[in-house]
Amino acid sequence: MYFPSEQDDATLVTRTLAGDQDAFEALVQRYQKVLFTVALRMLGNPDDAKDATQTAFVRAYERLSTFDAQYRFFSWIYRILMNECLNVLRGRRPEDELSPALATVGGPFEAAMSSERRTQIQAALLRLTPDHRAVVVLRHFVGLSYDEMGDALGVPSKTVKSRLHSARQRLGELLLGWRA
Amino acid sequence: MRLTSEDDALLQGLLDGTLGPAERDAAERLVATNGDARRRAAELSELARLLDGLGGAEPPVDFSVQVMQAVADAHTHAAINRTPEITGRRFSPGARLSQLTDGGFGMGKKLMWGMVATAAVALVVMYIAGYPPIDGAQGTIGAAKRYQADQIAPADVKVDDSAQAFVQSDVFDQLLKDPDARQMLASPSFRGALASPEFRNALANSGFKAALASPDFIRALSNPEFSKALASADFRQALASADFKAALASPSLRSALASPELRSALASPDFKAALANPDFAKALASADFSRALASADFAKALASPGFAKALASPGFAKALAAPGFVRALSSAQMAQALGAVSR
Repeated sequence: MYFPSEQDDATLVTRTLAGDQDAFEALVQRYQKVLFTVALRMLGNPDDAKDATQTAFVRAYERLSTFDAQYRFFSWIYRILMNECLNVLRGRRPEDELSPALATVGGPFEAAMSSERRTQIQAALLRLTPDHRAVVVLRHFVGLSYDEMGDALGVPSKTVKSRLHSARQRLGELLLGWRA
Repeated sequence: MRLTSEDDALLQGLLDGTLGPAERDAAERLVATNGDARRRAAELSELARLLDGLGGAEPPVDFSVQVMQAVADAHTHAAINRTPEITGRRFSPGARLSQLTDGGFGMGKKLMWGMVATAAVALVVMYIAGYPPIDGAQGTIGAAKRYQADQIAPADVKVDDSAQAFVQSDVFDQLLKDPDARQMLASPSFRGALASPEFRNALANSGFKAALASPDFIRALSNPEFSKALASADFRQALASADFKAALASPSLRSALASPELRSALASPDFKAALANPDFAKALASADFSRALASADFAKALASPGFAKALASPGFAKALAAPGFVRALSSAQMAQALGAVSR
């Protein structure tokens, strides 16, 4: 749902490489919402999410010459963002990780869900391991396929499937009382 | 009948819509004939509904603008450190800024230097002018006259260096490597903090006042163009941001502003001439510059050790007082560049 044609992305990348900053700004505008969402769900904090997303864009810009055009731009930049989020998480103390200073930024769906329930869901996400959280976020908030998630995370799609299964089981236990 | 891991994988695939026709048939058969599978499929659907209900999140307003500022900053920084091997590569994003490079040291560095200097000047001038200014001329001249008692003679100021020397110094390199300072140099905000007691106390020491009290400096501030710039709506609006207050109260900045080197530099004729230059005044009053001054990033950068260190360094002070400062800072090119970066 978030992805315009690959041709458009490829054109914008080429124009950026030729020195057209407006082209890169178009890529930023195209992906800022979904990348920010990913970062917010991964990190649980709007300030951290903003920083991580901005850093990902800057790194993408700086490394654009290394981007292989046979791959999708969004997979590439998601991978950069995911690495950035994982770096942030690695730098956190355990108590920060479980902090319920949770994301309150949201769209229309959030308005329909009770604040308490949203908090519970985000808290449950934060209790997953970063690897498990990543697959849930990419699947449910970005809508990536297993292959696309594999590209973004640098793991085989079989691993994605396995992590997704474990992550859902854990979330089910936390949110819906599934048996362990 | 208990579910196997293969069954579970089928149900997950059904939920995610990743199954081929044959697998899909198998999954649907499983759900239709197995109560545990039905229950599991319902659980997975419920979980998906909960997660999907969280929905997407909106990034902050102007996020793309902030990103592009960070990109421009990163590009400028990269250009400064670019080695011949790197410049030989095909990638050269940011040609707009690259067009500003010239023969000696790159315009990227000049631009940084200009922004640091402008920030320092803006700090000083706004203090002198008083905040908020009643009107340009009266506020400026009146405030400046308050400090006429103690004067530093121009002869006390040794101007034996150039802006270029400072740009090539370790201190300047350190400043460029300071993430907060770099963010400020390429980003948008400034304001009302200048009215804070902390800031005024910091600047109230007699040495600092003396530096600002020389006749040349007062003349510079009395310049109609400069007064007009200070009184502009954009500039005054820029002074109204909250983050700036805390930044100005930081010990490192306060100490830097009170350093003897900076005081001497401010008293130099060339520095005053730069302030009086209509192009510089125009740049100071531009909406682009005001936006830059009004950002939280700028406030954060002002409080960063790198900025304060640069401000207090003898090299910076000498550079402020050098003829090169006048030429660089008051040039139309610099004004244009400042605007380009803050866009």
